[in-house]
Amino acid sequence: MQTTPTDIDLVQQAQEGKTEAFSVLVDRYRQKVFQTCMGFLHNTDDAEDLTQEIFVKAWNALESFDRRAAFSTWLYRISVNKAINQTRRNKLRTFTGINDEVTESGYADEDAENNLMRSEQREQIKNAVSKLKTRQKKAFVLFYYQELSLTEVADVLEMSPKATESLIFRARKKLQGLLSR
Amino acid sequence: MTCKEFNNQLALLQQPGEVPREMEVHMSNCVSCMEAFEKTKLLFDFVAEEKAKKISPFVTTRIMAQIESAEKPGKVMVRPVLASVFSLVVLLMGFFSASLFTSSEPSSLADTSEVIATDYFFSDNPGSQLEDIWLNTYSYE
Repeated sequence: MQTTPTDIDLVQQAQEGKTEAFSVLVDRYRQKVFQTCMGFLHNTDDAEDLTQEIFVKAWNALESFDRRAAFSTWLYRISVNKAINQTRRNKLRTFTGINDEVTESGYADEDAENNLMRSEQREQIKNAVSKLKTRQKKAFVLFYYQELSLTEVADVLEMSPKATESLIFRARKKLQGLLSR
Repeated sequence: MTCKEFNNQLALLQQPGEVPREMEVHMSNCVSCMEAFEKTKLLFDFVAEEKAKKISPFVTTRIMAQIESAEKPGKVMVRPVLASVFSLVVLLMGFFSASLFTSSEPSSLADTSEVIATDYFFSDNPGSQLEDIWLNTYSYE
């Protein structure tokens, strides 16, 4: 019977240059990384492109992975940092008028008024999330989009679980305030 | 329950479906808190919708292709270096060969050949001299 290789085994093989081992890691974590990217970018194509960038970056930085943390923690840390950088770039592009964002809508069959209202609500939520502070946003996405536990989020952000809990609470309070306006 | 307490409780809710009885009672009497609750529900719906999106399964192939194409930088990087070195060698060779032809005594070699040829043809017996050279060359071999 063949056993599933652990992350550590695969990382070790990947560090020796075995791309097949890294490919298994990509298959294992691509959806989670993609969800993180969605939490920051709110666009499927952009999130997919960023997922690709994140894994390429992880491969290139694999030498520096010293196994003090779990591979997933290290990968999610890269993901949130890359995603934050990407949102900053997108903001700059929007500011300079390069980025003509097309709003995705999966509700073409519904009536126009309903669709418009939904689209406005989505925009309001996106705006509110984008107004969170960097750390709050990271914690919010890791906790709600990736469904990581408080301890896992704390590991990724290199904070104590208590401070992470407080960060998520403040993020939620801020979102409530922004959405109630 | 005050509105402040309600909002704190709301921020601690993991799922808006799990509303404590106390909060429900407060909401039924407070429009703004009811509105805040509805907005929170929308936020959770939004997150659930985005979270449900699936990444293309082909992304692994794309990632691995990118990694493998970048994996051969040694081979790829040698070529431009070799090309530059080769270009430099050709340039230097060109420079030296040009300086050979444009040296301060450009016709010295040609002049020497001309003198030898002239001496040969105007000597008394040019044919025998030539034979001597051939014979000597042959015997030395």
